[in-house]
Amino acid sequence: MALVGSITVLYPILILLLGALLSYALAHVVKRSANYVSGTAAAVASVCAIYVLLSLLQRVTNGEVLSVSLFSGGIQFALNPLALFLSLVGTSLTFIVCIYSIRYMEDATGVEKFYALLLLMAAGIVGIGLAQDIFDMYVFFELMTVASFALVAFEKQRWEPVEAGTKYGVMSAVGSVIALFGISTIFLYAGTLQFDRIGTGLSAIAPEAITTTIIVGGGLMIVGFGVKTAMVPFHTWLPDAHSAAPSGISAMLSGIVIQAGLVALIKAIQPLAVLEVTSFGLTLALFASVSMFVGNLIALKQRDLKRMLAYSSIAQMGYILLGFAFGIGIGGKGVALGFIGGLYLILGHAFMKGGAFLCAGAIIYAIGTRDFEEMKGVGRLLPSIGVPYTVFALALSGLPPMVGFVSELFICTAGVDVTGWGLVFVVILLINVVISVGYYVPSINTIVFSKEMGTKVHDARSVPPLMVGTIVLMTAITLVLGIYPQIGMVIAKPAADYLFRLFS
Amino acid sequence: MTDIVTTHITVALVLFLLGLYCVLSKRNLIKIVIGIEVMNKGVILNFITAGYYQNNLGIAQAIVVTVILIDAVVVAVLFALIVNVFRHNKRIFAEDAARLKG
Amino acid sequence: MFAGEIGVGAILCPIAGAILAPLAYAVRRKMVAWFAVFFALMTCTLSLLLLTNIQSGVLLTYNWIPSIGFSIALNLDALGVYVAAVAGSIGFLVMLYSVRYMEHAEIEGYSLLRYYGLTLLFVGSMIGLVLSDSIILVYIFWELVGFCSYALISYYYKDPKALRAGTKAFVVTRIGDVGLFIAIVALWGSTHSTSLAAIVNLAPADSTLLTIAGFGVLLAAIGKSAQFPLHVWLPDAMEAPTTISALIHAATMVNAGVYLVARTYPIFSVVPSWPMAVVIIGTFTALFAATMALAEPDLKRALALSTISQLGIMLSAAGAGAIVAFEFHLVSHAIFKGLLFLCAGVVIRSVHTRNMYEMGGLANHMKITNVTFIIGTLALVGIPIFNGFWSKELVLDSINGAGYLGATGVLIITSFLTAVYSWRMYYLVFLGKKRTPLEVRDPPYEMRTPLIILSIATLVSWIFISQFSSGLAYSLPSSYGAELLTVRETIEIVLLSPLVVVSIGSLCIIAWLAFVFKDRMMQFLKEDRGLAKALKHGYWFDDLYRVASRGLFFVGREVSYTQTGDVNYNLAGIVLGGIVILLILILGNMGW
Repeated sequence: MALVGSITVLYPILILLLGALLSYALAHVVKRSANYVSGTAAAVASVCAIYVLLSLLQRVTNGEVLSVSLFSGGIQFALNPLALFLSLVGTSLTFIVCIYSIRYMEDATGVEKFYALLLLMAAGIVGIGLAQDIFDMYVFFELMTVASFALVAFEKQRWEPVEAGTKYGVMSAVGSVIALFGISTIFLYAGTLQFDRIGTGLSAIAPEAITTTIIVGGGLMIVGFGVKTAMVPFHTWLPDAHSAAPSGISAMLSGIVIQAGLVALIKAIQPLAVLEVTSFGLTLALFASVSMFVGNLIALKQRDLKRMLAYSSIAQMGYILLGFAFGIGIGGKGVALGFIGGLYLILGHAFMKGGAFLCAGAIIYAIGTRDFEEMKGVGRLLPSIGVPYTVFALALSGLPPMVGFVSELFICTAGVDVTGWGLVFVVILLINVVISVGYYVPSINTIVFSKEMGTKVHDARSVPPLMVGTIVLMTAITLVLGIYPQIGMVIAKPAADYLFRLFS
Repeated sequence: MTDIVTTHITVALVLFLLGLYCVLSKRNLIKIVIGIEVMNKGVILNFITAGYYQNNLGIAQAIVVTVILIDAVVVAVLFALIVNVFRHNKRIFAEDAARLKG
Repeated sequence: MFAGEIGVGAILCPIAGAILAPLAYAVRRKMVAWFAVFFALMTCTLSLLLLTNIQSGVLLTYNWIPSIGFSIALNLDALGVYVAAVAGSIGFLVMLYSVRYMEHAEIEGYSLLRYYGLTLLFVGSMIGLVLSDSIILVYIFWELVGFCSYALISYYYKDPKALRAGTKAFVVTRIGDVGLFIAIVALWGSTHSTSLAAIVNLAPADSTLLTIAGFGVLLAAIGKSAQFPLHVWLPDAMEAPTTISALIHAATMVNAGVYLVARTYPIFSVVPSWPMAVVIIGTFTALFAATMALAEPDLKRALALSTISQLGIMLSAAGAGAIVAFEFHLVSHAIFKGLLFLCAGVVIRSVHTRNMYEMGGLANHMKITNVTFIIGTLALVGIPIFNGFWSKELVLDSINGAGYLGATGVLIITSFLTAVYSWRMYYLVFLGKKRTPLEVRDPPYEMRTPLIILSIATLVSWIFISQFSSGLAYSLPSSYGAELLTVRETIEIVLLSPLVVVSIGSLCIIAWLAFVFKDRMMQFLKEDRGLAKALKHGYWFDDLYRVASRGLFFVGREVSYTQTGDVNYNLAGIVLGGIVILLILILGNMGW
């Protein structure tokens, strides 16, 4: 296994995989309080991964290329700024969810499997960023996906997660195989699947063939990865899956997994988009607009907190996707600010939506329900949930000075500079922001400002400090990223510049 | 593109579309998963053909083996989920797994 | 340089108070009230200090997001500082008044911490809004005051009406805020700057982006200042505690919209239809709201409609480029409308109702309140020697001078209506028979002092017109057209103008008519059919919005039926989406 390059690139994945093994094994060695043992082991593993990534941050941002290749060039990994961004956000969220789940999952059976699967999913996310050819990326994509099937259906004694997990699994598998067909088409025509060589591979063949490849291959890959990204109309798995999963997993799913799907999509079509055969940017922008409307409109009628948040995620993915579309360019050159906006919203949304889901989980822990009618006033009884939830909901609706507003500002500013129809899409985004206020604010009213207490609120359990602590941490991050965006820019800007260079 | 290659691609496409048809029209969950499998076989065939066409059978084999592996894992997990559906429902049809809506 | 620090202090002091308030609350609940008064006093002092530190030019630039080039800065010119001083001082007076007014809140189960914390946050954000040079920072504070408004309207959350009103205010103003957001990005697109002062100096030529930005700002102003057609939230916002109505919905926040129009006037006056659009909307709203105030039975709602009407007058002034007149009327209105609301608070607190038809005859029982209310009313109507007279006549004169003769006419008619509805308010509340069985008295000194201070201000604030206008002339670039106006010149302009004759003459006629036809008019306005019914129901505009929002929820429900839950349908969705993508890509390739 000839290894060329710096193996430090692989450390995060190896640490996470090792952590998965350890947290599973340790729970069988130490027979008591499995959730503490496993959870702590998993948390430690994620912290180690974060540490490695942070130590490499300076070098990667300065433009140093860190790569490693195995099997004499067969498999290559590189830690570029985009990979660093995705991995950092992913591992940070994993760490927070690990700590949160120590108490949240305390009653579950087989909880060591939970943490192992969680770390496997995280490893998949990191791998998506690191992979340097489409198929390797696909392998890690599948790792992440399959782990998430099991995680969604983890509480298998209830019916809801089983139905949600099954439909999610089937749809995701169909998406994956469609993407794989697209990948095989690319391989057929380009002869290679490495991102930096596909372009040269394609230019060696006849122009009509290039067009076919790009349209068929690119289109199928958009569909396949689009299922994971929850683009409308590929989104139908999301409301069930994100509601039924354990709340820490919902946070992970909405916070980083669907965004990893988006990164995979962007990485996959990048070699095709630069050949300027057709407008991928416009396609993405159109689907982004549809996603925004569908997500926000259906969220209006929801009576279940987690389901409302799930539909909101679909809409927010629309905003992110629009940012990326601006970066790629709609009928003309793209704007780097679009990538900054999209990436910054990924960063912010991970904490805003993740935090909101953790709040929902805390409510479930306290009173055992997700229904708005039954949870009236719980935020007043438990201000440790009420205040953070208000912050998250307002941040998601784009209120300054929180990170949601800053991201939307970047995306819209990019939209004005984009040639052609940018301003139209900006208006669509803003209209959607106003529509979204129509469900965020009533949810705050129900949870905090409610005259009666819901039927279950009287017997509320108090929420453990471990859970409250993580929620408060998320709140702080949401505020800090909004008030002082330069902190987030440290990882977002290099990644955006890297993407912009790729797409030019 | 030579005849052999075109034939193989066509067969791969046919397999893929057959699998897709199966996935869309069958109500039995197991049959749907089998449909996914058929689609996968079509893709694998496409990869092999691509490898032949590009004279890079080494990579093609590596990819195909990996795909079969991943496939097996995915199918295993999906069937595990279907078993759980059965445990709750005593049936494995799509109608019964349609309680979550709106 | 020192001035900048005072400005930052004026913004951060109340916000710090809001953050520290939980500590005071934890020590002893009632202490948070005096804690807040203390911080409000400090803020008031700082904001008044700013009056002596007016500068032209931008101060304290801070490179907020260097990666993109967004920076934020303060601008301490008179246009903003005057509003900041109003916010700081009326904020303090309202806070003092609140100590007694809100003393029963805890007993009824409402947290005083929420009230005082939010009010302090509000004052800081409002001052920040008007002292900001960067349009992004203006937006941030704009949304923050909007949030405080929502939270404070919903303060009495146990009343579902209050919650609905708060949500409605938030949603309607968010619609307007879209306009401001678009203006930010459009201005950035055309000038690559976020600094309002810099853009004013740049004087960009008319372009599509500039037009979009201009109408975006107008939309934002319509939302925030409750102009037609986004006026529906302000009357409902009266569910808030009356102190909040005085502070937010009369003296400060609602002025933010018209303030922004005035500040950006030099930028957008080059856009062909923009000034005219502003004047039309302002004038129409002024008349529109005044008609509705005629038939409104609720005292606070009537004052709210009056505020909308006066804001329309201010908007027209801004649209006509009459910056001195605009700012002068803004300050005058803040003073006398704040006064009127605080008086209303006293009345409502005593008679436990907001319905004017259940009040009456209170003049003898609440002498001080009676006198202060009369002073406020006379200022609103525009009787000479009260500040409202001078400011309104200056506005009329300026609008007339700018060539908007039709608008001037409409505004004069509006003045008549103002006289009628104001007099009606006073008559129903203080004169006639006492219709409430409850005992009423003058308020305690914490509530009396602000009333007296504001009354004195109403009588004398116009004397300072010369210092007022010189501040504006000195600190604003010439493109604002602000000029020095001495007291003597003001008296000359106003009293010698033909408009004055028309105004005062007609007022006398109206007064006489009202006196003669008093009972019949009251009976007519009280009825529930015909014109009176239309007025009372706000021309059914509220219902229009209710139907619209129901429609939106209906669409949401219909779309949600696509979520069938059936795997095969979901997968069909994937295939369908795939076909659409392939189509778009193919068409894109063919050059669409």
